[in-house]
Amino acid sequence: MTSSRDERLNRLSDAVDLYLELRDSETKPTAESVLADRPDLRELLDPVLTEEDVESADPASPRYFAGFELLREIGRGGAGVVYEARESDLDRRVALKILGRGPELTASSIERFRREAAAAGKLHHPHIASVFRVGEHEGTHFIAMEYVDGRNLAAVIRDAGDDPLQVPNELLGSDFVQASTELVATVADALSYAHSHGIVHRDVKPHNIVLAREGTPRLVDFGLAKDFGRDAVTRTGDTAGTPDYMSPEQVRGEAIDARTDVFSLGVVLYELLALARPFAAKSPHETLDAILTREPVALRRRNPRVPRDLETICHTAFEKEASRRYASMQEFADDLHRFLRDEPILATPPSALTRGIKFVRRNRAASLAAVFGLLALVIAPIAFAFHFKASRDALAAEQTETRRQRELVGSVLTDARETLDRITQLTQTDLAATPGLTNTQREMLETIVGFHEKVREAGTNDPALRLESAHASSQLGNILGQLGERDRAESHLREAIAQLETLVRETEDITPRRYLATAHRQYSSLLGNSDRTREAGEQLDAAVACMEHTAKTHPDAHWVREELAFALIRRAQLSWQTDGVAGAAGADLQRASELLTSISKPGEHQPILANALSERAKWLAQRGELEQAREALESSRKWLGPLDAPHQRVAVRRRAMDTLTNHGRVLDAIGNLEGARLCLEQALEIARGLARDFPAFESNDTMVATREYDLGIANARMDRLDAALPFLQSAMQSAERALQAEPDSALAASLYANSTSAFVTASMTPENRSVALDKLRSAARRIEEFLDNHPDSRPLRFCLGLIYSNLSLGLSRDDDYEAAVGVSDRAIELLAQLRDDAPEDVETRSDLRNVAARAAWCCLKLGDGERGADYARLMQSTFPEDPLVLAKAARYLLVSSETLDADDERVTGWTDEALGWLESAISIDPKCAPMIRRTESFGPHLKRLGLDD
Amino acid sequence: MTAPHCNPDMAPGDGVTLHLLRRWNAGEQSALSELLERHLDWITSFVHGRLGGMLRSRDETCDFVQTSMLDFLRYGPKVEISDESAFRGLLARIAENNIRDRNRHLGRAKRDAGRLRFAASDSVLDLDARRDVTRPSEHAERDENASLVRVALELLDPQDREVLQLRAFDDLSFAEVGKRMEIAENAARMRYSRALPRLAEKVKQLRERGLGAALDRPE
Repeated sequence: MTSSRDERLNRLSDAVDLYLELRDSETKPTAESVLADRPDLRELLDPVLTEEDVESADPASPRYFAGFELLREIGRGGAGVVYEARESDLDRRVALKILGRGPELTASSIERFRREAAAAGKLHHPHIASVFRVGEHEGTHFIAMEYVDGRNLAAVIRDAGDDPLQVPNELLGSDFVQASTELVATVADALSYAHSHGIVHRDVKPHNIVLAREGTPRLVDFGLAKDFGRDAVTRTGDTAGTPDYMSPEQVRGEAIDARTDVFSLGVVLYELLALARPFAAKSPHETLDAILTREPVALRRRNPRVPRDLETICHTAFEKEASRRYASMQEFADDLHRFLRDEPILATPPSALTRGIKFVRRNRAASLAAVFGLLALVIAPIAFAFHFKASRDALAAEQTETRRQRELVGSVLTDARETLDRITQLTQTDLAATPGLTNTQREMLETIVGFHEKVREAGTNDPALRLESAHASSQLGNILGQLGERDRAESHLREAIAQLETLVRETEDITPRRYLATAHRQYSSLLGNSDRTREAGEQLDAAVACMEHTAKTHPDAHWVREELAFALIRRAQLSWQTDGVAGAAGADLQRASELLTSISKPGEHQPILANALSERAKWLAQRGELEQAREALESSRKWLGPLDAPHQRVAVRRRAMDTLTNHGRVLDAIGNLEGARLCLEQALEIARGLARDFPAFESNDTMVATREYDLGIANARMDRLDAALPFLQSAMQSAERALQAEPDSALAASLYANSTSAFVTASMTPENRSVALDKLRSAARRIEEFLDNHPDSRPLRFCLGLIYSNLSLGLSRDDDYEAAVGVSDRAIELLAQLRDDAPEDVETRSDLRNVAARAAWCCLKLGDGERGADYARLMQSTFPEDPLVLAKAARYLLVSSETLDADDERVTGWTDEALGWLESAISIDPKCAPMIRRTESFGPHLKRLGLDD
Repeated sequence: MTAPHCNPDMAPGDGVTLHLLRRWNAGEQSALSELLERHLDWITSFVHGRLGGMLRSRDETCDFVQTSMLDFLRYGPKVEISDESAFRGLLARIAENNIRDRNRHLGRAKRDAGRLRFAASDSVLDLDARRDVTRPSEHAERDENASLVRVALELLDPQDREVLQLRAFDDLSFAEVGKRMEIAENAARMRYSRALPRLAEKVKQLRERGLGAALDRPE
């Protein structure tokens, strides 16, 4: 082998010696004079010598820290320094907080720092700056947080001046009071979210509220965050917090809770509205005293423009006694929102569910009877008039009265129907998950069924009533589907669609189109649940087409964009299941994202948007488009919103869980394994919370098993097998329960097989190998049976390919090379078919490459060069543009050729073929040349490749 | 040389290692075999714990460790190793670096995959031991200084080691280094400009105070 490596080592050694000579020299020669004598060392030394003076070169310089490039210092606090920095690996800006190493670094401050990290890491909210990383670098602790580009509120208040009646318009808008209130309400919502996770900020102040470029407030630096689920770390005498905004209990060093933040935020609100702090004094000590003992000047005295209600809200927030303040940040936020909506403050309305239930319970008999009675009033006169052929005048009079009554009925009917629709929606989500209410849910749904059936049976030619009737059919079908009566459900939905299509042709009115799109979506859901995925897709195509047309004719209709987005998302998810990455999922998701973000206030669509963007990120990652996947992931994170808050609806929590799962998968794809693990951990936490809170859910086992499996895989990928195995084992057990409950469920079967395969392979040792292999064979047989019944199922084919791949690995470890090749063939058959269906799917190609490589290796162990060569060619075909794959395939082919007789004419051909791959590799990426040079098998051919030097 | 039976309970005796080290430093190659035999079990257990059972069986760990140890030590660093702790520290560091290099290589391959799946190990792709550039050919180093640089490289922070290897041994431009390490070109340049002085400092420590002082942590 050449001595070029030695020469390079010697050159490096010379460079090191010269550097030391320069650094330690008393005469301090210039870099140029030194390098003039040794031009061969210029490349190695120039970057060092010209970066800064040799004399001051200090390896401990903080300009570069733990993979971060420090750009500027932006703040300095009691425990550390905050820098604006760039995270090189991901090329993004962060706010990097580094703890000092001085005397202020106590055990207490380190523990507080770690708690801050753990607490803040749980928070994902569009108005809270995210925590990206926490760590320790050479003994120094740090946190990397999202850098928010903008001005903090302290700067805004400073620029506002002293007179609250003369605030410049450009600061927050023409109505400073309104804008300030909206801003504080937004921050209150964010803090409420943090509190719901057991985290108190403890340092709410204008400096920690940054107005990002787009104008939205972001809460930064939970620098003194305290998880109030634990014992207080900060003891009397070690108070943390800025004096002006501290609560009385903070000043006294007492135990604090969320109401501390309520106090501080109330002070911020006061300062914004009055442009003066309520407890300002000449010294910090006097300020603390004022907080404890002095009543502030009434807000309206400082700013008469502040409405009384707002003054009341503000003063309530910073009552000195915590028990007299708002009991929670949520209550504070609610009152602010009421004020902004011009509603009475300090009132808490019943939830929509409670309202709905109360309405039905109070008015059930009466409301239905009233509606049915009125229907009878409408129908009878019409029938009478037509039947008895009264005079034209009499008929006209009747019809006038009929119209009046119809309008009356229509109005009542619409109100009743909307209320019941809302109850239907709630019963399908929130109540469905509540133990003990299933009977109530069913009773309510059946009551509503009765209502809809009556409407249907009424029969009428009136277009408005026909519309209600058709919608009733659709809702009937939807509800019957929920109750498990699928045949009846399908019948009603088909009837509804037929009726609505007729109505759409008859009128330009927008409502029938909306109902039609909804009916198509509902029918699609029913079909999807019955594994009739192609038909389900057709229904979604119809829904999309209907809404696309409506969007053109009614471009300003907000809900059209929503309906269209929902239909596109559903279609994308379906396409993903059936066609994988080759489908139109990417385009649909992008379009849906654009539609939802075009709605001015996404509001309740935030979770849907976050989920849609995460699906798109996952799809992009699957195709290997990692940069775009990363961007979509970042977009999704912005909309993720609250996670697993107890008051959140089940549907929101489930969507957050799905979104986090997608985030984890995308982060894994882009190489951020720790980030992936954290996201999947959060997803599992939500899943277990849902299962715990709602044990009646049928799909709990599948839901939890999927996340356990994912987390097991994530840990395994980080070589943390001790952490991985318990998750994989638990996933296996959960999946087995799910399979017992639903023996025909392909999802449960594939989950069981995947987790079994993963657990068995990860825990395989030479001692238990034969048992492990038997388990894998058993899992394979089970899935083969399922595949016979579901031949189009991509997940099942993936699952089976994976099992055979792991089986071949185990057999090869057992030195049973022939058997390993045998099962590899079946894996290759499955994976090749998947690859052909979706050539863009990078992961399938990777799996195929790996299996082919293993098969080649086994063949070479058997001395079977012919088969080895075939597998080498298969391997090369999976990534013909990847130099690493080309090189490895070339190696297998060359070794295969060595098994042939020397005079076999194929030797030359195979060698030429392999060298051709190597030449391609070098041509694609010249930096693979060193790797090729170092590989022993290529040694005799380096001259031909031009790599001998 | 055949792989000895891997017995993690076997412990080196007092003074024996030092004696063997002195003999080896004096040019006695047989002392090297004995040294490895005495410490291989310990380093094998150390390595095995870091590799993960999924990737390696215990037998393969032995082979891997032995090959990498032998390849490095056969052409021996001419650095003074004053005690067993320092010697083990060096072995541990070399093993850890090899594992890291290997995992980084595999990690890049993993990042080609899009979806989270339990990918069967592709360790069989590495039938050829990746010959680290700090393992010289059969030609001896030109002088002792180069030997010290080799050892110092093993003792550096992994990021420093990587940037120096890519720049000094693979002759990559900073743009290419940045691409390989997935950082910006400027960041690669800055990282290199910090790493070389650290390498120099480590060489100086080895030269003046021996291996024990140069190790970050005693094993």
